[in-house]
Amino acid sequence: MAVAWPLAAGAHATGSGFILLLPTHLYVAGGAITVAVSFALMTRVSPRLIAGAQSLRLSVPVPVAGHRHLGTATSLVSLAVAVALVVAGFVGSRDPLANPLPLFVWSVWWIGLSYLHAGFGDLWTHLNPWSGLYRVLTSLAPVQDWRGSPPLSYPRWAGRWPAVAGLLLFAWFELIHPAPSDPAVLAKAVAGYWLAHMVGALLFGPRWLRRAETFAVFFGIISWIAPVAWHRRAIELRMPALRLLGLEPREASGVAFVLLVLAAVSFDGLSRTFAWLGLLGVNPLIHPGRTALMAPNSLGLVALFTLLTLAYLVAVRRTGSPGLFVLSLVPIACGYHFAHYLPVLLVDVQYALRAASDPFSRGWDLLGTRDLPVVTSFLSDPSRVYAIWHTQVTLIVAAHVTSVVIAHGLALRQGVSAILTGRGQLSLLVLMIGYTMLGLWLLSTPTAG
Amino acid sequence: MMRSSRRNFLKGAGAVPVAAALPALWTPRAAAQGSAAPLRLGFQVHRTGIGAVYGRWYERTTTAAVKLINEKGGIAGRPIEIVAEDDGTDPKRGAEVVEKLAVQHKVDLIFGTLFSHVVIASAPRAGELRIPYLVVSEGYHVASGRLNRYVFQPGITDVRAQVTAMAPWILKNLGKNVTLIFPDYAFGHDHRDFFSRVATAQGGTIKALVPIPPTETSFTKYFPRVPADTEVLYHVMVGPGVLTFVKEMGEHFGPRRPQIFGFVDSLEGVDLGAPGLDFLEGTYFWEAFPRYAGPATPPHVRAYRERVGVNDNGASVNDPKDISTFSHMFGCWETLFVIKRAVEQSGYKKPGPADYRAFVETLEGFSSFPEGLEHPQGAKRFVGRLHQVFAHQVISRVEKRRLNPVHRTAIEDSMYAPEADYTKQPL
Repeated sequence: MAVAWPLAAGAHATGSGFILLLPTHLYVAGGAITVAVSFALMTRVSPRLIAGAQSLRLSVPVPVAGHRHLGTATSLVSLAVAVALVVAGFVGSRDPLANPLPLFVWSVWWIGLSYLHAGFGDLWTHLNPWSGLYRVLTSLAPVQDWRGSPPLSYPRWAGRWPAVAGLLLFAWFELIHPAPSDPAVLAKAVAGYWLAHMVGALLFGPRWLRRAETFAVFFGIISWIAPVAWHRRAIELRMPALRLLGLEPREASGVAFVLLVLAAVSFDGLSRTFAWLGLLGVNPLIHPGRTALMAPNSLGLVALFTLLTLAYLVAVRRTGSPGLFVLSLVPIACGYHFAHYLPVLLVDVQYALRAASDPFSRGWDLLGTRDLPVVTSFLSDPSRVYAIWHTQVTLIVAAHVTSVVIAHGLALRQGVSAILTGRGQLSLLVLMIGYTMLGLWLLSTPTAG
Repeated sequence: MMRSSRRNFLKGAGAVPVAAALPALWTPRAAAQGSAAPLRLGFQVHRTGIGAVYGRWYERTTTAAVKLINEKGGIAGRPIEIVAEDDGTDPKRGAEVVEKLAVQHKVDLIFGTLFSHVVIASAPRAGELRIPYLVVSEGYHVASGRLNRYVFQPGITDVRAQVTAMAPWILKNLGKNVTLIFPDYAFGHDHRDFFSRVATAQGGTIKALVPIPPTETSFTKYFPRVPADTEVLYHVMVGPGVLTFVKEMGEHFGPRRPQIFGFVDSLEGVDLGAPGLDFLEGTYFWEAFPRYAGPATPPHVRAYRERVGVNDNGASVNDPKDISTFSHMFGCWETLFVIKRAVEQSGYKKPGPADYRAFVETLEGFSSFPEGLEHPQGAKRFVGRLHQVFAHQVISRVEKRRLNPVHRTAIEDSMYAPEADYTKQPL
């Protein structure tokens, strides 16, 4: 080995050398104390105040909002963009930072669109690339009746399990497959995923797209924390995250889905830490690459999901309602997703703008951004590294405090007094404090890969 | 920006209906560019994985060199077309990328690989496919004879040469009693072995060897192992713990420190003004190519910096806080000009045993490259039997948080007795 591992390696590392100079253990302790104190304060808050905040809403009439034809049009535009991206994956540059497909899938869509859902509510309902084509196809003669009575009925027992399985596959592909950013590999994966769900929708009807399609479920969950909800003729503004208090308890597959979202993003952090690599006997300074770690990381992903599920079930056993309290984990899942991917998004959005200007590697400059200089110094310039780090810490802690509020509100829904609900939630509080500490530790510990 | 031409993407089953709908605008790029068919160079780049920061600057330097060569008429009248493939800094994928570039993309040559474990895993595949493979990795694995006839390192020197050139200067100017602190794996072991060998042969004494486990993030417990009569502390720490290492070294030694000598590998891509690095003031570093430009910087080096987009502080012109990997990335630039020279002198036309033989033998016949815009780092000696280039090395002192060159070694200072002869291997 001759060339050494540089300090500022990798977008995920975020100048972790500078973070190591901080008293990070104090941040971890401070985060845990904040969550504990917010819990203690919540038990003193009047249930009426929570109910009042929950009922605060403003409905803005927007005649075209939720209009079916508008949804069809946006979905068809999405499909056209997806087709163009898949073509680019096959014919464009082989460089994953010059081909628009990996940049749009892994950054603009998976990270950026999640942020947009947290801000603007459920956009995927109208932006998914299936529903428009489905409506067009099912208005044609041969399959005209399929929308009203699909050839197969979606079985009740299936719940959201197909979406859970899809998320597990997706997480494995993102975190463990050797080359998820290889444009051709990704193009085949995207085309295959689209085709599978188009067939699913045609056979089982629109319900398939709401319950079995992984990202409909994922973006739907993220949109629960948004201050915006879309209705047929109006847009409703309300307090962020409080919508969670009015939702029905989730069935088992819904619980599994939320836990898997949290486990997957946590494992993405964990699998890069020196601690994890050390456990596997791997020298992080000469990281052997993804190929060499496929087996242990596959096991690790499943093990973390299993552990988290067990911990959650133990934590909520006294509340008697795992389907209800899983809603309180949604802000944590969102917060960690946003914090974890922030540095990647900041870099890759710039590469995406470049790639979008010449998507097929033809020498075009459609947007005038083909040669846009990519700025990455916020990953190595101390003042900006610290700014990003503090943003991440704030996101994590704010997400956990929100979760405490939601857990408390959900307990009140069960009709017990504030003090009693506090006791019932103690074990859930322990889980949340533990997760705060884990989240902050993952952001502060050295990483590679 | 890297670009590649049309691929035989019809193999992808999902693409067939799409391809059928594509209009005639999908003419291959080469045809659109002029009569001469391009010379297709496969660029094995670390776009993802732990090599990504180096990869970014290797890509920028490569793009700048290709632009310059193409502006001046290309190679043997043919424009260069770069076909970049990411290997994820993953040794197994590295070998696959070599095969993909050679067999699927049918490139003329492959170059650019950096991380040693990827080079060591990829080189055998290049040898089996009999395609020239020019690495920019700084490793001794080329000159050691461990690889094969098709693997060259003509654009950057190896770690053994660097250490060999540093040792006499350190012993003469900083002191003869040396303690080495190094990460406890191959990279650190190379420094330990090569430096110890040269230093003891020249009258120096190794007072202690202090290996540090690669996952370590706190170093205070290691400094007491540095003997009190140490005159020179030689360090090659790398990874995210470097800033903590320097800070804790300062806390341990304070103003009563020994002389300190390090390799800039530790701080490639890092601003010397960064917090935690105050203690480095007055210490010395090896550099391949001075990061900071000054009044003495020659015009061809200025032209190189301008072309790559690097300012006088070794940072990006477009993003002045983005510090380049200045002591390594020139290797891509110089390798491309060596390729140009070898293609033009050998009469290389197309992939195939005869033309590859001519290319390899021509390259092995080179003995020197003159300093200039094509070789901005300095004049080079090339040893054909080793497939390895030798160069001047630079020793810089940290002054006011900048690296100021204080000595430039002769090329001969870095040369060691050869241990291999690739020219005896069959082609």
